Amino acid sequence: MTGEPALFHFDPERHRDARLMPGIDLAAFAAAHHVKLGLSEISDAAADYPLAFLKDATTGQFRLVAVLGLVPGANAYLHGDFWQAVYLPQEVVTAPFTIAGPDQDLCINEGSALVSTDVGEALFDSEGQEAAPLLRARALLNELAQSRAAADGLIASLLELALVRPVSITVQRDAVPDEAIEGLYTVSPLLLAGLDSAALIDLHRRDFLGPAYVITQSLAQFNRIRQLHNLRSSRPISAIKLEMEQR
Amino acid sequence: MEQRIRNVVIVGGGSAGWIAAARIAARNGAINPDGVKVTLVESASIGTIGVGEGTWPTMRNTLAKIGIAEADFLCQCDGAFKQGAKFTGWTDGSPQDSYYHPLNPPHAALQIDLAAHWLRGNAGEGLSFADAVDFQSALCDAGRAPKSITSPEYGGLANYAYHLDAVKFAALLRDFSIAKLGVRHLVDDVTAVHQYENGDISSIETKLNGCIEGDLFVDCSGFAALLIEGVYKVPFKSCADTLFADHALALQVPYDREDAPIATHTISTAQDAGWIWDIGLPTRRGTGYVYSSRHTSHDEAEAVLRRYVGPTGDGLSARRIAIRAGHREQFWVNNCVAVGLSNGFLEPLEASALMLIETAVDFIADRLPENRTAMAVLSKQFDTAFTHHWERIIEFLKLHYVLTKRNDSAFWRENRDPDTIPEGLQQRLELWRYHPPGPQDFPYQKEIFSWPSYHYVMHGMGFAAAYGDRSGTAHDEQLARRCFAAVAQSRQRSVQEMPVHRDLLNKIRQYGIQAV
Repeated sequence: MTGEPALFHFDPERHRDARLMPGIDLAAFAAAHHVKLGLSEISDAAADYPLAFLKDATTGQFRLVAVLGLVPGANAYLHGDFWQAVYLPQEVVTAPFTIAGPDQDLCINEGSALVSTDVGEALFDSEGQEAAPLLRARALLNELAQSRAAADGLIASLLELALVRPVSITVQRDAVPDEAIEGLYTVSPLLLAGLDSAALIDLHRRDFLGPAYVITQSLAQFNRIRQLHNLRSSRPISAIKLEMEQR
Repeated sequence: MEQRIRNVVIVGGGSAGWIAAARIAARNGAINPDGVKVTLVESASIGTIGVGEGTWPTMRNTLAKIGIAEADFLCQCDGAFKQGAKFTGWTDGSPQDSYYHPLNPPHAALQIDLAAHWLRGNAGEGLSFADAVDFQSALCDAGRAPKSITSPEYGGLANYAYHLDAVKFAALLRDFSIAKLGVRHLVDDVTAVHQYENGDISSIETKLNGCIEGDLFVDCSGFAALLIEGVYKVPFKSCADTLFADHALALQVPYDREDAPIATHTISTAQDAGWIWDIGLPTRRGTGYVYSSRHTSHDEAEAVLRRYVGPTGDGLSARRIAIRAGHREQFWVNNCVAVGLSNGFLEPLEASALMLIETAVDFIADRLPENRTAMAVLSKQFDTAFTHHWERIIEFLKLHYVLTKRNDSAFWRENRDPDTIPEGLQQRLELWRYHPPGPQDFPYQKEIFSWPSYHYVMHGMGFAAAYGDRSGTAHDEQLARRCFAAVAQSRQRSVQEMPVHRDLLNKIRQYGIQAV
């Protein structure tokens, strides 16, 4: 699963002269197959995207993501410069800034079309102090970091209750062999329904029960991905089958 | 109604005793008030042997059934991943003489036997059998793990087993069994055994805890064989005339540096009078010379081992262990079953010790006799199974010695003397000149070493098979070529994608392994 932009740790020295053009850097996500989500984004994001858990390739830890495409390198939601969704994930909105790494450090995508040294708002003022666009990004990313930490808390609870299960996704096209997509996980609705009362109430009190159901239900959005894919692809998908291991 | 089997007493606390206790307790609800009671009596004065440091892939199942998390096991037992064995110097002793016996079966093993196609050179010139039919030996060569940090616990890209610290392993099983599975643990010495008129054991007498009653007694007392020999006088059937090794000299050595690569396979190097094992844990290497004292002296053996290990072993003391190769004539008598060394023991050439414990314990735990009548039938099944297992394991170990072309010492020459080769093996080797070993040769339901293992060893050692020239159908030829091409691709990809062995073990210490 690839498609994340090349990031650099934000460095006041290195980026002293950087300027930022207004707008949203959609192009940076043309090849993104998924974006990470924070807990507070769940209900909005679920109205547009399938939500799932994906293992971080470096640590094996689960992350909450919105799935954007079926194959690495293809974002089904981005058609030209139009993003076919009502909700834009915070990860997209805050670009070219993001947070990454174990300490959630501020990073910048230097390859972004919005970043230059001659056009747009300066990131630092004449006295070397952080200027408005940088302060704005910091504030947003601060919130995002907290929201992601909350999502990690949700995942930890779901793992402790052994509710997380792999979803096998089969993409069917006419006249070609089925394609299997592995690596996505979700909350098993069957196991969730089978929880004992105490665990269920505990989950509810921690405000995790709603999100758990939303994540499960959001898998239906794979149909939206199919629809978006077929709008512009010469190799239309006839069906996307989801199978979940329940035990 | 006949009395049910509700009370299991295990005598002895090494790997055998604790695997038995954990599996029987976990499978039969010992933690519940109405579950089967499991008591383990372990002597404080008798130490464990603790050199069984290589497992089979079966251990993943055993641990999962016990309920131990894979990361906990790896971290607490200094565990590492094992993907097979590399045999060096076994065929002719030349510098380039080595072959792999990986744990993956050959590619598409259920559809096609690739051996004949490989013999004809269809996999490519100079490619070893193991490399031609599977990617795992490439992973071993590259020091790559069989799984990555995103693999779920007990699963991976390639089949794998473990290398472990046997003393720490027994301790982990003990602590887990007591804390989580409801096993009662007594540190005590058995002073007497009481029997009913029919010969069944009614109880054991202990020094500190008095009389301990039971319905089924599991003898895990090691070479002492307190019950199976002490009470029932079951004779021991030696196989020293087939497998000559009668001693092992074990030496644990540190790595030169903290980040030294960890081999992901057991290295087994032939010597003049036996062979040396070399097992890599994250913390140290375990080495040992398995030798025949008829063919070398203890002093010479130690010199050979120290030469192999080099200066890193200087000042460290080696431990000598006697190997009495063979097994009981009967394994389950009345209400007493022998598991572990009391059942039998062979040189650790194919890491059979822990695996045989698991095989025995699977039988006992998964179908714990409901009552004494059922036990009579089950014990017969157990005896039949183990008689078969020992016979075939002895044959398979002997195979490594029979196929050698080494003439440089009496040990290797005498190993090819027909009088030392079991008749069954002789017959099968004759058959296998003309027909590759196949599933038909291994009709037993749970065969320990099946035909893929024979393929790896026989073709690894250049067995003179006569079936190489026999070409198959056009369909077969085509399928074989596709298989070889697929293996070539996965050899490359797996090495690229799988992490370095030590890096993964370090990562697991930091992040654990996801259950799914």
